[in-house]
Amino acid sequence: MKLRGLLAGLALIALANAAVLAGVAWNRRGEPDATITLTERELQIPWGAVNDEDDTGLDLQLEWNVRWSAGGRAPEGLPLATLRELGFEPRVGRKEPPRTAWVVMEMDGEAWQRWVAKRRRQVEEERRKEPDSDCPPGSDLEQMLVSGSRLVVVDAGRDREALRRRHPDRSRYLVVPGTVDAREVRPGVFEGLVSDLRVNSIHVPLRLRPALDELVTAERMRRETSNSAYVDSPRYRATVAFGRRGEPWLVSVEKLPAPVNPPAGSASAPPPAPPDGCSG
Amino acid sequence: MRKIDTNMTDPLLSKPEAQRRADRIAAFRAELAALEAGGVLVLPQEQRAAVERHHDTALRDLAERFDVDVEEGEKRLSVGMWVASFLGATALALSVFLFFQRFWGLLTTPSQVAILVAAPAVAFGLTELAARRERTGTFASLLGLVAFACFVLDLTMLGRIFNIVPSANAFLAWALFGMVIAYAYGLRLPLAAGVICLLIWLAAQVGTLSGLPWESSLEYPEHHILAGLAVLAVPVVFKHRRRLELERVYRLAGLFAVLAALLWVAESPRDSRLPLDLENLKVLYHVLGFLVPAAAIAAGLWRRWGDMVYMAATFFVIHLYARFFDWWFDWMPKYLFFLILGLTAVGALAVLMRLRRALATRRRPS
Repeated sequence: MKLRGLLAGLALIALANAAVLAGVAWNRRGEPDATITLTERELQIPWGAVNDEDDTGLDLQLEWNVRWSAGGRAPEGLPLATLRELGFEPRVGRKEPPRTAWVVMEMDGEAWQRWVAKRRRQVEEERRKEPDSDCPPGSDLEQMLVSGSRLVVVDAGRDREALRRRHPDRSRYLVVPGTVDAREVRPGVFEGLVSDLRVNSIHVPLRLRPALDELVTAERMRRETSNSAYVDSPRYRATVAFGRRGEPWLVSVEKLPAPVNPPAGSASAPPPAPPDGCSG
Repeated sequence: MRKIDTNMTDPLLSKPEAQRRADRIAAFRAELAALEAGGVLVLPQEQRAAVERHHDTALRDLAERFDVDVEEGEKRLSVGMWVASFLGATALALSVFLFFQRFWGLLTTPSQVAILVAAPAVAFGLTELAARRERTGTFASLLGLVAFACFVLDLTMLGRIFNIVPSANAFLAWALFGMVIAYAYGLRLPLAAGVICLLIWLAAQVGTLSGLPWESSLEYPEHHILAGLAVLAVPVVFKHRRRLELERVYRLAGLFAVLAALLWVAESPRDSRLPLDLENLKVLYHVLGFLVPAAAIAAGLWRRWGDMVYMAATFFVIHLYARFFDWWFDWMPKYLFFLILGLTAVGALAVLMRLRRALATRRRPS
């Protein structure tokens, strides 16, 4: 029994690992489904990487725009028809469980531009209403334009191929697995919200670490000597490929030149007001 | 009822059965001494010596083959060893996790994969070695748990390195691995770890069938109730004729999942997935919260499973206290509320004592 048990255990270890690695190979075989260039605005070094010296691994956090971005002023949610396609049957007063779906995200495209334009109009309107306010509106817009993620959810569905046909530009649209929630935004009015991506961080392999390690070390030293935690201008850009299962991997990372005039909110400038209003 | 060979120890005994046999011999000797001292029974010298010789041989054999505890002091030491083994395994598993986390960023991807795949295989090999070298199974249990932890680390870190969509199937692989270790060496701790993973995998399957992400599936108590019932059915479908101590793990883990999930949904009926309104859900789960533990107590008494009786009785009492709180705490004078709680505790003690006596009566051989 013991020998049989040992062989069964070793076979199980081999099988499980083989299944995982075969899945990885299948995901990365052939042309990627999408290859996209992101900057630090969309792929951020997480707080833990700077603070936790016991974990030498580094994963970059994938940031996308969700409802609570930019002071609660969000890009468009997913329409009711999409929710129905995903199997939701929204009813007043009843909370439905979330659903898994393929989610389409657009990088620096029309949805982002529309959102910025809408926010700009809102800010101008707020300024007209309160011209002498001690706390001028729009600081969140400035931050959004300098450091906010330009990845915006534009579509979702069950059929990945159909989504890809609707959004064929593989250098601008990602089709990735995510989790969709139905929210009642106003009484009787529902819209969809992508509450999570199934893979929301991307591991950095050793060969791509040097550029980022330099930043992590510099960030650690800066935090030791300065109270400011704001770094606004993106300091690197990365090319990310997404495979057949929508699982990403880093292709390259390169540092970006520092801006000649640091924008408002950078380490040398006073930190901007928080998105929801003045700090006082 | 299986017959016990009284001339020699059964070559197919498991360690817990061997320990029970040694305990029976010790109890017989103590009782015989008491009867002799009271003058109730005095065996002829020749017969007494023959019984003594037979028991000495049996105990020597049991100690040699199964490392059973013959004396009370040895038993206490064994419990201590078991606790130390569990704590040691937890600390070693944690150290493996932290060690890998400390250095993996300095390794290339192929080296990371090689280390991750090799770690559980090496730890499992060491478990086999320990099981061959010492009979108590203490070191095998410790290394078995470390092997289990290495396998968890293996699949978790591969997921992180290759940015894989998290899958509940990892829990199935871990469950099977825990079971393989447990059945190969007769170890309960790796089985408990495996059965917990099996419960999570089963609960995840219930939700994913209806399109939920598997992590969200774990947020619904009914999914855990179904998973618990499935685990309770394992020893019914797969009979454990030899490894009764392993059968107990399924029974306790399954029952705990069912009762804990019932308590959860009775307290928070909004988390239910049943298409009923809140008031009906409350009534349904408040009733089930009493009925299911009561049924489990009855089943435990019937099958002489003491641990099941005690666990079900504990949940019954917790449920009762929770209902008292819901019904009376707001309007009743506090002194009266706590008086009722105290009297209920006294009543529960009386019932538990009766249950204990009933169990003892049922355990007594006919």
